[in-house]
Amino acid sequence: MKKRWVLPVMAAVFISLLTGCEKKDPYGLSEKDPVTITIWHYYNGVQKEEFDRLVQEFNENEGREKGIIVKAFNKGSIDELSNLINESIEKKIGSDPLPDVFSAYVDKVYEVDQMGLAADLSSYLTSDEIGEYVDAYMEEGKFDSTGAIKVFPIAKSTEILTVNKTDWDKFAEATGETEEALSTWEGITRVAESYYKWTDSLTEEPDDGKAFFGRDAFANYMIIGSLQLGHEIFKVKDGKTVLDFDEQTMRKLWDNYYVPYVNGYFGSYGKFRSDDVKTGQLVAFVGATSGIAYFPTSVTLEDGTNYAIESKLYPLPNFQGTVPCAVQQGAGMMVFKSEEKREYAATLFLKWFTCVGQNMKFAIGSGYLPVKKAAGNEELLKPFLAEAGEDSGVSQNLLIGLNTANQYRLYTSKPFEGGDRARNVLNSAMVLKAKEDYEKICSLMEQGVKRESAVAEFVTEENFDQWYRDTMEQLEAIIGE
Amino acid sequence: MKNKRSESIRTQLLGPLLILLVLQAAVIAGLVLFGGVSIKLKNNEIHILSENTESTKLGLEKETLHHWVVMFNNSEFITAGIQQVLDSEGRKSKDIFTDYELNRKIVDKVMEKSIEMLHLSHATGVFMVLNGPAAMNSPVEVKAGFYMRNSNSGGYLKDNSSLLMERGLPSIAEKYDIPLDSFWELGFQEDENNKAACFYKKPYLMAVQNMAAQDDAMKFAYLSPPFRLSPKDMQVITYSIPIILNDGTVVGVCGLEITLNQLEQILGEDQTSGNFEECWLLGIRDKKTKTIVPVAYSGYLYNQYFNESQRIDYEDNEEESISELTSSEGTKWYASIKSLDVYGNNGPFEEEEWVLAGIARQKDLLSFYNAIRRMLLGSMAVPLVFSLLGAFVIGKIVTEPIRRLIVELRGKSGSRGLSLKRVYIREIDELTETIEQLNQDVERASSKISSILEHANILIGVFEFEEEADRVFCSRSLFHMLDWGSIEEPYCYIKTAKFKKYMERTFTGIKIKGDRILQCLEGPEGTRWVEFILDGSKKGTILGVCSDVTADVEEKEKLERERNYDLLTEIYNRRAFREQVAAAMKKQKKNVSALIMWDLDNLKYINDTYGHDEGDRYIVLFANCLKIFSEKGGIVARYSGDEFVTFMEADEKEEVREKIREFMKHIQKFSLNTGGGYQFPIRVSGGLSWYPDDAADFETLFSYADFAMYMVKHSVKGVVKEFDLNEYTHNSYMLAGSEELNRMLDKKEVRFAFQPIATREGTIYGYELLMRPKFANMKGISEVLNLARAQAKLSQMEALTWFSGLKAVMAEAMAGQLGTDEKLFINSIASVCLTEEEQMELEETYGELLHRIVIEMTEGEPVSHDFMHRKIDMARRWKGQVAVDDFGTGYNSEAILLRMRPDIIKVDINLVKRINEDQNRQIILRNLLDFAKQNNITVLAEGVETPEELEFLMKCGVSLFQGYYISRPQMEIRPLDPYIVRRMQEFSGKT
Repeated sequence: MKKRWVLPVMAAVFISLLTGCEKKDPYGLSEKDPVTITIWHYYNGVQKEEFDRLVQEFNENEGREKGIIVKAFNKGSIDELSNLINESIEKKIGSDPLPDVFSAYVDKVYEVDQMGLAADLSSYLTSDEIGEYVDAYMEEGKFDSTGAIKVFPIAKSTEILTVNKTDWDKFAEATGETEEALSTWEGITRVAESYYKWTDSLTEEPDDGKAFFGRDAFANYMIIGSLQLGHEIFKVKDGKTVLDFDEQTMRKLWDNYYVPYVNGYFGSYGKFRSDDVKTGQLVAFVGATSGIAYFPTSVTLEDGTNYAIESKLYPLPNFQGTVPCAVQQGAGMMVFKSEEKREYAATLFLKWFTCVGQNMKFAIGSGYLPVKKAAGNEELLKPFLAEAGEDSGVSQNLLIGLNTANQYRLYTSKPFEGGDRARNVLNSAMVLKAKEDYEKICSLMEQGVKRESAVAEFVTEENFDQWYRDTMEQLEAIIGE
Repeated sequence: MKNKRSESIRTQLLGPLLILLVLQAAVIAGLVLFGGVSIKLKNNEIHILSENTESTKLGLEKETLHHWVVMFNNSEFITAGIQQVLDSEGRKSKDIFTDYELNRKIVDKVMEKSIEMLHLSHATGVFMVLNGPAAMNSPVEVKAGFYMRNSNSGGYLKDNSSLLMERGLPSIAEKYDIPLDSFWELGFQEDENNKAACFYKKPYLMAVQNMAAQDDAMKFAYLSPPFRLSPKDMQVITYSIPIILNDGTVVGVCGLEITLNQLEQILGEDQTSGNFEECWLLGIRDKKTKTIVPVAYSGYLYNQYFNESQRIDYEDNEEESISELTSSEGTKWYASIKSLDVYGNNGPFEEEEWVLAGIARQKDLLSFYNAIRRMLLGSMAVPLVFSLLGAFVIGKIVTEPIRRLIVELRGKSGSRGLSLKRVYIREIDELTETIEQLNQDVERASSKISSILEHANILIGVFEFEEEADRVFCSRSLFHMLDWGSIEEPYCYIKTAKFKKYMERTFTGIKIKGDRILQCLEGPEGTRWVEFILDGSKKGTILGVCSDVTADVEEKEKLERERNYDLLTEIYNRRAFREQVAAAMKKQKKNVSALIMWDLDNLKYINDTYGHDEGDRYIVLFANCLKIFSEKGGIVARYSGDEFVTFMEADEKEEVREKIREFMKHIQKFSLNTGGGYQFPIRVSGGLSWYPDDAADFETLFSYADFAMYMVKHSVKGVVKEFDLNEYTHNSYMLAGSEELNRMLDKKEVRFAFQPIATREGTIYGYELLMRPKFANMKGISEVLNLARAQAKLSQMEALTWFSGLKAVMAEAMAGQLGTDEKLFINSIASVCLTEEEQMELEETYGELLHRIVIEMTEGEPVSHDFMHRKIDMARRWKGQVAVDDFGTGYNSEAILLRMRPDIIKVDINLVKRINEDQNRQIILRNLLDFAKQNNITVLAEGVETPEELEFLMKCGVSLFQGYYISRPQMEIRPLDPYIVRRMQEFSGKT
């Protein structure tokens, strides 16, 4: 008979119809049975919005096709997040189960990695893929010579000086100060004093001058300042941490923060310095580029007075006569060890998130610097800058940020045991001291003591020595463990 | 009627079997598909969607509304806090409307607990708006209060690091260490056009209008549609209730917020379960309409199909208790729509209904249902296939013995005394017997028919050739007819090989004439023709019938001959020649071909002198000579009476020329012996044209040869001339025009133009009649005259000039264009003259015009004295005049003046042209004028073209003028241009 082939073919068709075909993924991801990846992060406000938007985009496209659902949760500030991770690791009562991914500074990851919980992402990335990222950023996530990658860089930031140009111009016109002063710490200290005196002179009331400057992330000031002046506070050598807390250097840092602060030339009021500029209490502040969303565009005083201002961005100031130096920060993403499928899925998301297109959208919106080498390409930047407006704050922020990354020595301290806590000490030691002493001065003044003499009581060698020794002890205690 | 196609037993068996099977399967499928199971399955699927929607709705309500309601039920801390502040400050509730400091204190008071409430509520924001000023210097419409957002909703953080302040005083933010958000403002900006203010204004106003009591606050709870607190902020919805103090004063609004993002996350949770994909839509529906305005949604499907839809319309499907909708690109969806428990009955905001819709594509939802149906159909198909196979095999077993019988029968068919094997199946064996019986009957019948045919003397031979068989059926008559010998039986079977040998021997060369196959057989009785008719309509079998058609063929050949040959000369006639030449031209074996046209020179003379019989002999004589060409491959034909044609091919022209020279020599040997013993030699003229050099088509080739012959005929005669294109182009009008000339002369249709002749005073003296023949091939009257001369038609031309000219004059006179006195100048041809009869006819017809005639002796003809005198006499008789035309050129010289004594001398244009500048011309003119004056002759100047010429001629004393300056020849007579008349009068006035 002619149609002998009919039967086997029909049989094959039936079998395939009944069973159906399914494509297999190397790690067992499947569209039908998606894996849910939870991410804890500290992004807030605009950044969170941007992050969520991208997560949604991923879930509806790549994620859906590959069988990955990403759920992202904000867990407060980076410190809060860090605490929650600790609680979950320790399985404290009421704590959430550990996420698959969380945003963390290298220090924190180092700590988690010591417990053997951090997944090595290098096996999910080809060497070409790794090569696409800025080498220094990838390097940060490698803690030993095995090449294991423990931190996935997704966005970086550095610091930048923001000035309320409207108020600065008024002041500069009245006193003849120039913006040149804004390039050194010494200059800022001097200008701040001048500003205090000028504002004081505007009213009959004595000693009611206003603070000029404030800054966030104080540890950066300590670490970078000390580094500039020749002393790397935490030096990690062969797995050992060496403390270099130089007294002379600290004195210089003291003179350029504590002293102007207790004088009322510097200040800190709200949660962040950008808030203080918005509420008219400060004129300039140093903050992370990632704070651009909070970039002040108007000033509203407590009494409801409101006026629009123009802000201007400057590169981070340095100590006079030193090599420019800036912090390179921004948390990366750490993936917790679990089954391969989950680790792979998490890596897929992170890879997608850092694709130039996505990364640039996130960077522009949130003030972060993109992490791929290709993102430094001006041609590539252009369309994104054009979309945001060439002269807009976000564009300027990105350009100055990229510039700083190119021209400054970018520094980030190597992680070490207790680094997290040591950093906390640096972050608060001088700030708290200054704040406390300033409050004391204020109460003295309320009692009728003149400002100069009240201040003089605190700006003393003994006071510095005491603070220095105190801080030194705290640091040594952490390092010595 | 159409025959029913016979079908195999297999098919016969399979058909009913198949129908049975299908019926069986259909019953099973019908039971399953329509017996309720299927419908239940479908309803189940739909029910799952409803269930899912219901549970999602409940989940959403639990996460949001219910949570919030509980929160607000525990929110007396706000009113209590406000009351405390008022009490401790000693202020009244009305002071809130005016005192910003009081408001700051109130905010400070309730802040901590509000933050706590925010953390507990799973909301993303909390706010309180007081209907009072926010700060000292803020505008009145900026209301006091606070608005905080939590980016970690549901989580509880020890510090406030997940909080951002959206609205509120800086001092409060400082105190509680809350960072300001990007779009932070000090207070709530109240603005009529600002949609963002509704969330607190609506419930506030509603409570004020309804004079709500403190306990009624929850009744005025308001769930806002999505809005942005600041233009660039994210979209949120809020749930707000008025704050009503003990004394019933409504002082503000407090509430909770959830971002659309968060809402969508809640919606999106646990949506992966189930075997179909769904998406969720939270929206607002105006009560009793079926349109949802989307607020929040989740699921990629929504984005894919409904993204940016401003509204979604649906229809209820009562039967399946589900709603249906169609997305813009046409996909059909099921939607389960549940309304959220937002407002109590008869609440103030009842019109806005919040609904949750679970939406799934119909094909997704029903995919399981459809898969089941497919499987059922599949399970119907599989047994069908197996049954088909089974039936096929069984059929084969049953039909096998029958097939064997058929094969055997085929092998033995045709043999006599058929006997077949038995298969031992009763029915089939009976059939076998019947077949054997039938075969015997057929044998008897066929021999009967054969003998009948033979006896009836219809000679038809028949054979049947089957491709696969090894024997061929032949009838006895076939043997007889084809001389294959003779056989006893009326028919026999012979081996195929033998048959083929016979056929090869017989059919030496088959002639196919039309659709008939003919074979010529040479036998002792002469030539016989046999025709074969082959019938191959039955595949694999050729039935041949042959018959004797000798008489038929002979008759046909005779007819053919008569059609193609000239009966007298027995060479081709015109028709056959054309066919043959056309065929030869098409093939064109050699390089050149020549077409020669012959014309016997003396036939007319012989016919006239010796009679037509001698003429015919003369023709036959020449035709026989021509056969010399056909012997050498040429084609020879008699074309008409004395015209013959020859077509021959050669490698080069010289070969042809040589043959023609030989031929011309050859014919000199022959002569016609007339009765009188006079040997009349053959004399022939010939024209030759070359193919393809001269022409590529027969018609042109023929006409060129004809032309060449014509040219010989009109010159030397008795030779053969080759066609010359130059000559042809020059003289072709003669050929082409002769036709037209004859027509013109026959019909006497020719037009005349009138050129005025003026006197010195500018009056009309007369008109010259100018013939204007309308010929396609000739340029002017001179060519017409040439042709007429060549054709010896000048006399007719002369007659035409007179009759038609005067007819034209009459027509003009009738039209009133012509006066009664103008002279009529007519050009007469000098070499001919009107016959006496014509003259009389002219006098009869146009008598009244004749005295006005001026006969011009036409230029260019040698003047015949007789004719001239006759014409002069004619003019005298009519009392007309005579004029000498073209004086100063051609044949008309001074001598003619002496002979003719004309009345008018027309001075030729050549003499007139630029006479005012040329002294020699002036001398001749003066002499002529002198002569004319003395002999009473009027002088007319022809061809006056410029005013200078006219002026000079007048000065000299010329009397009449003709020429383009005065007037061109006109087809209809018109008066002279008054301007010219004036000029002429001016010139004449001078002299």
